[in-house]
Amino acid sequence: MNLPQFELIQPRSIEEVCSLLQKHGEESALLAGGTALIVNLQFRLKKPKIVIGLKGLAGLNYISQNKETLAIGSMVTLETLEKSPIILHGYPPMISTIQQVAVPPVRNQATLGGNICLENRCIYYNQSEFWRRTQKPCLRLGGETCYAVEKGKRCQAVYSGDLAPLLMILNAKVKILSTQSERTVPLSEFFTGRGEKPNILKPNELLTEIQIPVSEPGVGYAYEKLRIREGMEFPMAGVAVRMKRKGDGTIEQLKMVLGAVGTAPIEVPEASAFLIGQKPTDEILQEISRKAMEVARPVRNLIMDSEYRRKMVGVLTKRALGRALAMAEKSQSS
Amino acid sequence: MKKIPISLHINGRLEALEIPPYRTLLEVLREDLHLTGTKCGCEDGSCGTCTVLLNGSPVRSCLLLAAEVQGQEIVTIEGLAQGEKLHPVQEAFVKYGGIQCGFCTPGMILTAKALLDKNPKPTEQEIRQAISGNLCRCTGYTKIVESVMAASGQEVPSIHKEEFPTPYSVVGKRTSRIDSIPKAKGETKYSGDLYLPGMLYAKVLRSPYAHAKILNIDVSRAEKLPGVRAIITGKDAPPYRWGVFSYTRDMQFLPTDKARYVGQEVAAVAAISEEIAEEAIHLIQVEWEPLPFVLDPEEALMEGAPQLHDDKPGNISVRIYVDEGNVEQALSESYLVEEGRFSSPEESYCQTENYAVVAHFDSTGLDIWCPNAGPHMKARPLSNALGIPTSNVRVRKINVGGHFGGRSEISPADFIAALLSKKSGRPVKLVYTREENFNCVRQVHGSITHCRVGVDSEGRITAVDMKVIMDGGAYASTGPIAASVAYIMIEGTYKFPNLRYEAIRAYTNKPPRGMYPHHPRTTYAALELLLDSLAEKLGMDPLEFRIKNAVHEGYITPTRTVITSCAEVETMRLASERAGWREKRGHLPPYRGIGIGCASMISGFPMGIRGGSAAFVRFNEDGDVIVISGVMDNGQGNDSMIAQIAAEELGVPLERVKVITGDTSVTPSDQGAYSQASTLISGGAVKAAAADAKEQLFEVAAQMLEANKEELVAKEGRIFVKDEPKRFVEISKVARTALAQNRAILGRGDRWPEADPEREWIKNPRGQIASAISFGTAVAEVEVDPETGKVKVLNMVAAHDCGYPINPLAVEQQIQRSAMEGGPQGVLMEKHLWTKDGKNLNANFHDYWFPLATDVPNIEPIIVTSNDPFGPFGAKEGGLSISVAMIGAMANAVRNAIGIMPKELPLTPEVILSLLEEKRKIK
Repeated sequence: MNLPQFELIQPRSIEEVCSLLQKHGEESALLAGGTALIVNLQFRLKKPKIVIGLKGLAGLNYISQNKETLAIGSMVTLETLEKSPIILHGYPPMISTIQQVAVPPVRNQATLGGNICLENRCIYYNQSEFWRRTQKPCLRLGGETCYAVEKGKRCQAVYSGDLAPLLMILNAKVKILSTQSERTVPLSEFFTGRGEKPNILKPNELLTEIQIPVSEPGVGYAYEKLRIREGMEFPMAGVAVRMKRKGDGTIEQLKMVLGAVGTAPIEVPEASAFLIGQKPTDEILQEISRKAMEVARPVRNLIMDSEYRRKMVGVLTKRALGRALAMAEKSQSS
Repeated sequence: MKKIPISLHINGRLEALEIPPYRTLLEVLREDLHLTGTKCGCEDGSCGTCTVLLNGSPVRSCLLLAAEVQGQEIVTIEGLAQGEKLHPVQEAFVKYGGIQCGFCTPGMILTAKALLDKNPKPTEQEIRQAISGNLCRCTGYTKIVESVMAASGQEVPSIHKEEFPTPYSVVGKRTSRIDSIPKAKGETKYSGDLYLPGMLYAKVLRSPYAHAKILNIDVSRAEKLPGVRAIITGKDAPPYRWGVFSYTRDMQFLPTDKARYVGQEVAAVAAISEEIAEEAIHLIQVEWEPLPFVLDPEEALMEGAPQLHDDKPGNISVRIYVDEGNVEQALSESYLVEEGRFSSPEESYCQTENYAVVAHFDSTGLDIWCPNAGPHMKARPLSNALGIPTSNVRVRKINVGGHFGGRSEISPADFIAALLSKKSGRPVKLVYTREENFNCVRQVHGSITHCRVGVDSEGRITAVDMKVIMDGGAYASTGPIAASVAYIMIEGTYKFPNLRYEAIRAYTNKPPRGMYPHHPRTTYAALELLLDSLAEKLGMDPLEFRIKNAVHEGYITPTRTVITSCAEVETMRLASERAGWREKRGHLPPYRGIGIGCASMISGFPMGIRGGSAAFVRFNEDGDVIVISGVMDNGQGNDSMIAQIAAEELGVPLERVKVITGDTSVTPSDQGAYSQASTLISGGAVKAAAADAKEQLFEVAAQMLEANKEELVAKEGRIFVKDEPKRFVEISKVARTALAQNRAILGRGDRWPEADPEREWIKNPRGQIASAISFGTAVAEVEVDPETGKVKVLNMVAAHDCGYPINPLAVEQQIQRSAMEGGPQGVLMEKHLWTKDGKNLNANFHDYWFPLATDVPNIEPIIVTSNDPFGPFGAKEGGLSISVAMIGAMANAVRNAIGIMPKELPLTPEVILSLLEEKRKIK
């Protein structure tokens, strides 16, 4: 096992990272936790000339809460989040979500920024170099064939991060920095829907911070993940739901995002129409689940059967809604 | 590329190095610092064998660049013990059986240590969560969890059992294995851990086609690459075809005509670094003529299918046909007949150690270290292939990180490394990637089984009619054996006079399939599911049904094997009792189920001149004993087993017995550890050799004690006169005295199976198959989530009749491993998927669903004895029946939970969901 050759630069400051990206953005890769990039290097899916190692950076490793916002530096590891009293106190469903990502040792290394920026996955792409060389390059690799979708014309590799759907329903924003600009973008605008390039980061840009608005009373949210084993796996489907409940039991707001059933996390704005101003009944929750199944667009590019994944979106939706509701009810009463 | 200076803080010491910046921490540990306790088992950070502690937390060292972790505290397994003093976690693993092959052990122990440092009294679930990132294939995780619990000082009721009742001093005692301490410390070496001076690194060029003619191979560009020392293609390989049997010779080690599966080796390079070897591979130009190919075994057997081997028309690798009694008549006269068609794709062995070979060829011959289950099996084909006498082929003793049936045969990797060494004049190391381990050694047969079973009105099985199509892949491998085991196991489990069995092993353009404890899984699932259904229709409890049909001592199977020792019914009673069968079966809430399955397992089979084992026992002048045996330890504990047997027979403490095993340069021939005969035959040979040595000791001791030889007893390090323990002499003193009398104590013994030598897989499937058969019953309890189809395993209990346990701890380990293999692996999770052009889609641990510690509960093992007349101390095969029995138990448990019979394995959630939907439609 060996990695392709590259030059390693380990900057000490964010400014240094940005100027490196300005100069070398196209031919470099950012190394955060390494749990994704190193694997891609091993598989020769990426062959950057320069790797910019971020582990020695000061300034991207913080969790800070003020009256309006929770701000998390992009280099915070999933394990740090999992053990953080701030998260436990203010955002408990985030803990259970994180605990479903990979396995504990991987979470010791993986970062929040890295998870959000995960490259999309496909069983015809995430293979060894030998495997990929046995066939003509796929769309993502610059060819004309899609092996997952017959006669497919666009790459439909799956967005496989667990955190983004949850963060999106929480109306999270991300801060993006370059030598030229600093912009704050809602996470819902961060994803492109393109299988081969899932997010809007330009080669000279660095994701520095994730901002989550402080929670309100009457709010409940949850993330449900489809996986076969109790650990290790990327999601085969995911549903994140957030609802805000009024004192009279009716729902004021509903936000739903589907994960791992498309090329980006999929917002389901139509879901709120079923529930806004109403009390949640079993029928309404069923309808929302059906809608979610309609909207989900899994294709045969994971090992798990895509029709099953689509069906599970319905089940996960129902369960996420139930948990979110319970949390909302509890939050109301307290 | 320019090297950079780094300094790493490892195990309390500062190491200064100059390395390329793209070197991972794992590579630096293993290759630069030779801390080989940290292992490499995959390419994608999924297996956990590379685990080290970084500032006290477990991390994947394969996913870290060495340059990134400077100034941080790194602890590897080598840093855990304080000299000889083990860390409490290491001690617990050694004491409570948390270690088998040892390959996952360093990572496992470090992860456990890190857990206890942060959470000193974890619950069972917390332990399972913590180790969920460490894959283990040998243990089923139970004893690892128990070891961690014990290390934390908490009560562990399941390990504090009463001592197994034994009249012996060493045998029958729950014993830490003699090789556990080095494994716990990460000292144990596997082939990939060896470094010889001047060693080259090899890489293999593989076929991108499922089926293609090799028109030309041009190695000229590769040869010119600086650093390349040797290149081989089919031209350098011997022209003949190799086969396990003389009539299954179909494989060239490097093909000259065509490649028959994606990934087949076509050429290989040895270079001064792995990087250069890899580059050279890409410079080799192969001209291919792609051919039509076939991936489905049923299609392969049809007329007009692409033919893989010219001399095997119809793509029939092997056909086994057994017809005893009159099945058609019996079925037509039966009170009830059930039939079904069951299918399953292939599985993989997933040994945590990736296949690796080190070969050194010089004028004295070949030294080779490679995973094996019997080095003598490899020596002969290597000698033929290299054109040197077998006595010049030295297959050396090496530790193996798991075998499970997939590494007993000579592998092209062995040959390639040896030939590259011959050609280059230097030692050569070839290490497979995880993908190569999945695809380029052996896989486990996929299969389709049609089964018909009949019963009479009393619930007695009248006939079993089974047709199996096995997906054999591109080469024969152990085809005749693989295609026969199903009926042999089945007829040894239940009584029925009429048996018809036809197995056709088909060639397909996929990697070759080898031996596996429970293959083909559809046969056992089919039988057990149909039996449950029949029992229910008769209004009989499935347990009572099985008791009624169980074999017993003296029973003669349809193909004429006499059952000698047999405690099958006891296994049924104990397993079912412990699992709460009577309270639960028929009384569980919806979507909960409990199921039972039974199996037999032969201890060995006729193997002609290679079927026996011989052993020596020698005494050192200090009274230590050295046992020399060809037996191989793949992690099941064979080294320890023969040490215990020798210690018992000689009457010396276990600590005084050392073993030299599995090395063709030193040890006599042995039948190999792949036929479940190690205890029976290898152990029997050692017992005989020890008895012979004891005879010699007694001759000397008799003089020293002025007694008759016949009056003497050897026990606990002394030889004494029976009933007069004060008239004794220390055995070590006897050994010295013998030397002073100019005689060396050297015991010799051998053991050969009492099987029918005329029995042959194809030509004569009749006669005594083995000297002993073991039996087992498994019970599984599951809960199915009706909305997702996911199965949660609530409980697994397995009782195995091992004759007598040489080491109860080791037998428990085998039972637990087998339960995991049969149930969660074989029935619930494991399968491969293929592209239309013959590529394996999931040759990695993310997509091949290898059960984690969090996927299973504790597995409860029960040892049952039957004191086999042939086995040493009454012992026979130690636990593998459960791999088959749990197939039936788990399949039946799921059927019990969902109320509809599954027809395919594995029962992954989408399969179960569609069964539930089918059931709703039927209603």
